[in-house]
Amino acid sequence: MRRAGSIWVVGVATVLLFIGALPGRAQSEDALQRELNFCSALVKWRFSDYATRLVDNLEKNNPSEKGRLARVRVEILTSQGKADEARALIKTFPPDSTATYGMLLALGDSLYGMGKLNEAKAVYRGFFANFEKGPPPEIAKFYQESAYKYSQMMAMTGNDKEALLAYEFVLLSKPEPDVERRLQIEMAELCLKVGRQESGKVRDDYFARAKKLCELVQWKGLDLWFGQSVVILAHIEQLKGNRKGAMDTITTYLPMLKELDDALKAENYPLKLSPMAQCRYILGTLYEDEARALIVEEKKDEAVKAFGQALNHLYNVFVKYPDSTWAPDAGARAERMATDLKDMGFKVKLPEINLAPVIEAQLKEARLLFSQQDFKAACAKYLTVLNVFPEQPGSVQSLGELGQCYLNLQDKLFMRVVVQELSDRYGARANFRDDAGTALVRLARAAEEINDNESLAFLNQLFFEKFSDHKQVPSMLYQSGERQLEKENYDLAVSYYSQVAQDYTNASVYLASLNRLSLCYTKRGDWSNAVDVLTRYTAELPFGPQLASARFRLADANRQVDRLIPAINEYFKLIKGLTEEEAKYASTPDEKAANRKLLEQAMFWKAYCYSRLREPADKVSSHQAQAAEDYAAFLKMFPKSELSPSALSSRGVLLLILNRNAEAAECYDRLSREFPQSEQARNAVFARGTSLLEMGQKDQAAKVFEEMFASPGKFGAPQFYQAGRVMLEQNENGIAIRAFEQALRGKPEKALEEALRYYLGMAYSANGDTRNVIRHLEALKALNASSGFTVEAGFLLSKAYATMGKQETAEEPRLKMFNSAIRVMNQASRLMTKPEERARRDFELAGIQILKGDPESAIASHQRLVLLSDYGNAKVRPVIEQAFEAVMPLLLERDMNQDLMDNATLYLQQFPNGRLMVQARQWREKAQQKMAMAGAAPVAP
Amino acid sequence: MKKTILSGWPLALSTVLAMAAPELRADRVIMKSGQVFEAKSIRFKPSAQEYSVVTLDNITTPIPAKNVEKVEVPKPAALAAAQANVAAGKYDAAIGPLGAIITENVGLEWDNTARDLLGQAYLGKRDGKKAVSIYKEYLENVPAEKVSLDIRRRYWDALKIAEMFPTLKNDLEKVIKEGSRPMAALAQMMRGEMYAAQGQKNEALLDFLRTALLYEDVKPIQPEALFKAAQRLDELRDPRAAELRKKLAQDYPNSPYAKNAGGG
Repeated sequence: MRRAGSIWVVGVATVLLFIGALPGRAQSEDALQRELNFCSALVKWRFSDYATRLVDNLEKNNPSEKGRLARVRVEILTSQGKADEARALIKTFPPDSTATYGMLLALGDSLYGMGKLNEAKAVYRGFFANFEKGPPPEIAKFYQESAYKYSQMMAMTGNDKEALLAYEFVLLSKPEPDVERRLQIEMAELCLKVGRQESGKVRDDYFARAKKLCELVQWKGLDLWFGQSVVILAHIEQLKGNRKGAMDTITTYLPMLKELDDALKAENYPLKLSPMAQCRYILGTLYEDEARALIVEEKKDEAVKAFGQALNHLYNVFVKYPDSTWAPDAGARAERMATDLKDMGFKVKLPEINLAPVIEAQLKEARLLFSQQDFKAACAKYLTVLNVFPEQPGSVQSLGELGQCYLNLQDKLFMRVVVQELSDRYGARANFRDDAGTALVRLARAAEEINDNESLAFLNQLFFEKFSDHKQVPSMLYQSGERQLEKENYDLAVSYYSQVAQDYTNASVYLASLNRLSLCYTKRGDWSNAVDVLTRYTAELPFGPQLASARFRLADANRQVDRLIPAINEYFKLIKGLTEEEAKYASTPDEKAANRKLLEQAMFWKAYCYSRLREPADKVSSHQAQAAEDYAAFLKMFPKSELSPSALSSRGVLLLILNRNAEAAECYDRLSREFPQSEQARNAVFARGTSLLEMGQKDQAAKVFEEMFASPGKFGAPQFYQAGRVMLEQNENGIAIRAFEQALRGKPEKALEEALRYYLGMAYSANGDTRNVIRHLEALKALNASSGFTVEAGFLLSKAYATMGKQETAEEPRLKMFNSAIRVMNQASRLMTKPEERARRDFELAGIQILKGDPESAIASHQRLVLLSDYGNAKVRPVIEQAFEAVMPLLLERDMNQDLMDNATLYLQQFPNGRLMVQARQWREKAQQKMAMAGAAPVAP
Repeated sequence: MKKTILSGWPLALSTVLAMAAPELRADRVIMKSGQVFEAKSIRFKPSAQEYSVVTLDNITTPIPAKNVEKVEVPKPAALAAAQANVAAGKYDAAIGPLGAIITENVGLEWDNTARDLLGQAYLGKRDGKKAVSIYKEYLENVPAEKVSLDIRRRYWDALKIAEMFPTLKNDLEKVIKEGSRPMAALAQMMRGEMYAAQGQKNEALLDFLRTALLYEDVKPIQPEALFKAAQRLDELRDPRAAELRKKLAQDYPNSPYAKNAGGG
C-alpha cells in the first residue's frame, strides 16, 4: 500500500507536469524572440504600422530568420484585415515545416482574436486534417500545444462540442499519462456540461462518455483527478434525477477521498484543494433536497434524519475546509436550513462554532487579491464573505476594504453603497462604531492616494458628520484644513481648523490648528479674527521660538486693524522677552537668528505704531516723540537694517513735525550718506510726502506733494507716477490724477505710459468721471491691445461704457454705448486665460446687464457662476460669493423662491464660514416662508 | 416531548434536531425556564402584569408575565370568520368582532393576531390613522425581535397612507440602524420606495442596491431588491442592470419579480 504522502506527490507532480505541457509556456528567449514578442504586443495594441517598421528592420539584420519573422508579419497583415495577403505569404514557405504551421496557426489566432470564429476554425481544422492519425514525432509537441490551445479557445466561446473534438486531437498526440488523465477529466467535465444541455439519447451518450472517461482516470491512480471524477459521477446521477445514486456514488468513494484528505494533511498542503469539501457539500445538498421532499410527503421522522445528515455535511465543510470555495455556501445553506427548520416548528441545536478562523480563512483570499490590486475579483470575494458572515468581528474591516476596491475601480455608486452601510448600520452599533469610523478614515486616505478629491471630500464630510466622537476626527479635520490651505481655499481651511479649535481643545493638533487658523485669517486679510485666534494661541503656547513668532504675528494683526495700543503692547512684550529673556525663546543658533530678525521688525513697527497714534489728541506730540525715540533705538541696534532708510526718513519727518529741525537734518544727512541708493534718499520729497500720508498728516502731505507740482522740472515722470500710485492707494484720487497727468505730460516711455493710462482710468473711475475713463483706456488700447493691463482695463472700460449707456436717454446712443461695453468685454475676454478672470467677466457682464435694465439676463449670468463654477478654485470662490450676494436680492424680488432656497442651501454648503452666512440663512427662511404661504409642496420628510 | 435524532457522521462535529410536538390538549403556559403548565383556563391581568392560571386541579395560580415565554389557549371561535371577512375585503364586517376578540383575549396571543387583522381591515379601508394606532398597540405588546417582516411592513404601509412621513422615516432609520438584518433590509427597501416616490432616485437606488448587494442573506427580500435596483440602474443606462436581472432569474426563478424582469 502506498504511503498517503506519495498519493499527493503524484497529484502535485501531475499538476506541474501539465502546466509544463500547456501551450504558450515561457520559451528560452533569444534577443530576436524578444523583439518579435514586442512586435506581437504592438499588433495587439493596434500599432501594426510600428510593428511593420520594426519587423522590416529585424529582417535586414536577420535575413536567415524569415520564417520566424513571417509569423509576426502574418499577425500584422491579419490585424490590418489582409488575411488573403497573410495566406499568400504563408504559401511562399515550404508547406510541411513547423515554421509554416506556426504561421498558419498565428493566422488562426489573429482571426479568432478579431472574432472571426469560423475562419479561425477553418484554419485550425485544416491544420489538424493534415494529421488524421496523429502528428509525426517531430511536430508532436507543437501539435499538442496547438490542439490544447484550440480546445480552450472553443470552450471560452461556448463551442463546447468543438472543444471536445479539440481534446480528441490533443489525445492523438499521445501525451504523457499524467497529462492524459488531466485531459480526460477536463473532457468528462465538458461532456457533463454538454449533456446537461441535451436530452434523450444524446444526453445519455454524453453522460456515458463522461462516465467512461472518469473510469479511465480512476483506474490509473488516487489523486486530485480521482477526486474530481467522483464529483462528476455524482453530478451525472444527480442530473439523471437519481438522488440516491448520487449519494451512493459519493459514499462509496468516501474512504478513498478520506485517504486523499489525510495525505494532504500529512504533507501540510492546504485542505481547500481536497475534493472532500466538494463531495461533502454535494452530499449535504442532496440530503437537504431529500429531506425537503420527505417533508412534502409528510415523512417527518425520515426528514429529520435527512436534515441532520445535510446539516452535518454542510457544517463540516464550513468548519473543516474554511478556505475552500464551498465553505461560504455551505455555511449559508446550513444557516438557512436551520432557520427554515425553526420556522417549521423544529428545535434545532447547532454546534457552537468560533467563526473567526473560518472568516479569516475566507478573507485571506480576498485580501490577497486586494493586495495584488485585482480589485474586481477581490470585490466578489469580499461580497461572498460579507454576505455569509455579516456583522461579525472583522466585517467592518472587510467592508472598508470592499469600499476601497470600488474606489480603486472608480465605481462610486457601489462605493457609496458600502459607505452607507458602514456609516448607517455599523456606525450605529457600539461594538462596531469605532472600527466603522476607522474604515472610513482609511477609505478617505485611499481616495487621497489616488487623487480622487471628490470622493475624499465626500468621505471626510460623512466622517465628520457621522463620527464626530471618533478619536481621529481632530487629525482628519486638521488634514482637511491642510489640503484646503495648500489650495489656498482659506475659507474652507478655516472651517476645518475652527472645528478643532472649538471642539477638540485636548487634541494633539489643537495648537497647530490655532496656528493655521490664524494664518488663514491673515491670508484672507481678516485681521480681526486673526487677532482673536493669535491671542488664544499665544496664551496657550509655552516659551520658545513659536511663542516669539506668534506674538509678533499678533502684534502685526493688531497693527493691521489699527488697534495700535494692543499692537504696541505686543511688540513691547516681544522686545522685552527677546532682549531680557532671550534664552527662553531660543536654544539653537538658527532660532536665535530668527528671533533677532523678529526683534528688528518689532522695534521698527513699534516706532511706526507710535507715529500713527492720533488719540488722545493732546498726546499726539508725545506719541510722535516716543516714535522718534523708538526709531532712534531701532537705528542704534540695527543700523544696517533694510528698514533703516525708512526709519531714517520717518524719523526725519517726525522731528520736522516736532520742530526739531536740526535733528531732522541730521537724519536726512545720514540717509543720503549711508543709504544713497535708497528710494527714500533719491526721492526725498516724495518719501517725506509718503511718510506724512502714512502718519495720517494728509494736509501736510498734500503740501509736500505741491512742492513737486510747483517745480515739475525737478522730478521725472517715474517720480510723479510713483507719487500718483501712493495717492491712489490712500484714496486721494484728485492728487493722484494730477500726478499721473503730470507724468503723462513728461512724454514717458511706452511701458510707463501704458501704466499711467491704466491708473488714470482707475482714478477717474473712482471719481465717477466716465468720459475720462474711456479717453485714457481707449488710448491704452490703441497703444497696446494686449498689454498686461488689457484684462483689468477691459473691465473698467466696459463698465464705463455701460454707465454712459445708462445715462443716455436716446435709444440709439444708449444702445451704441452698451454695444461698446460688450465689444470691449469680448476683446478683453480673448486674453482671459485664467478661470478667475473668466468668472469675473461673467460677474461684470451681469453688472452691465443690470445697468442695461435687463435683470433677467443678469440673473442668468449670476446663476451660471453660482451653479457651474469651480468651487474648488480659491481664486474663483470670491467671485462666486459676489455673485451670490448680487443675485439673491434679485431672486427675492421676483419670488423665485425655489432658486432662492437652492442657492441659499448651496451657499451654506460651500461657504460654511462665508461672510454671507447669516444672510444666507435669512434668505432660506424667507424662501421657505414664501413657499409655504404659496402652498408649495412641503420639503421631503 | 423531544426527539434527539442525529449524529450520523463519524466526525466530532454534530448538529441536533428535535421535533416539537404540535398537538394541543389544554390551555398551556410555557415558562421561560422551559417548564410547561397545563391549565383549565388562563386570563391576563394587565394592571398586575400577571397571568391568572386555573390549573387542571382547579387551583388558581398567579404567574408573573415576565416569567412566561408564551401561553397557548384555543383560538377564539369568531376569529376565523373575521379573518375570512378581511380576506374577502368585507372590512366593516370584520372590524367589530375583531375589536371584541382583542378585548376578550388581552395578553393571550390571539389579541395580537386580531390586532393584525384589524390593522389589515383599516388598511383595506385606506384608514391609515386607525391602522397606525392599531399597529402601534401591536408593536408595544410584542417584543421587537418577534415582530414579523409582514407586520412591520403593514405598519409602515399604514404610516404611508396616513401621510405620517416623518414618523415613517424615523422608524425606518431606526430599524436600519438597530433592527435585525431581515428587518433592516425591509426598512431599506421601504425607504428606497419613499425616496423614489419623492423623486430622489439616486438615494432610492442606493437603498435598493445596498439591500441587493450586502443583504444577500435575507433571501425573501432579494428578488424585490434585485428587481428595483436593476430598474433604477436601467434609468442610468448602467449595464449592471442586466447582471442583477440575470442573478434574479438564476437565483429566484420562481419569484414574481423574476417573471416580470424579463424585458427589463
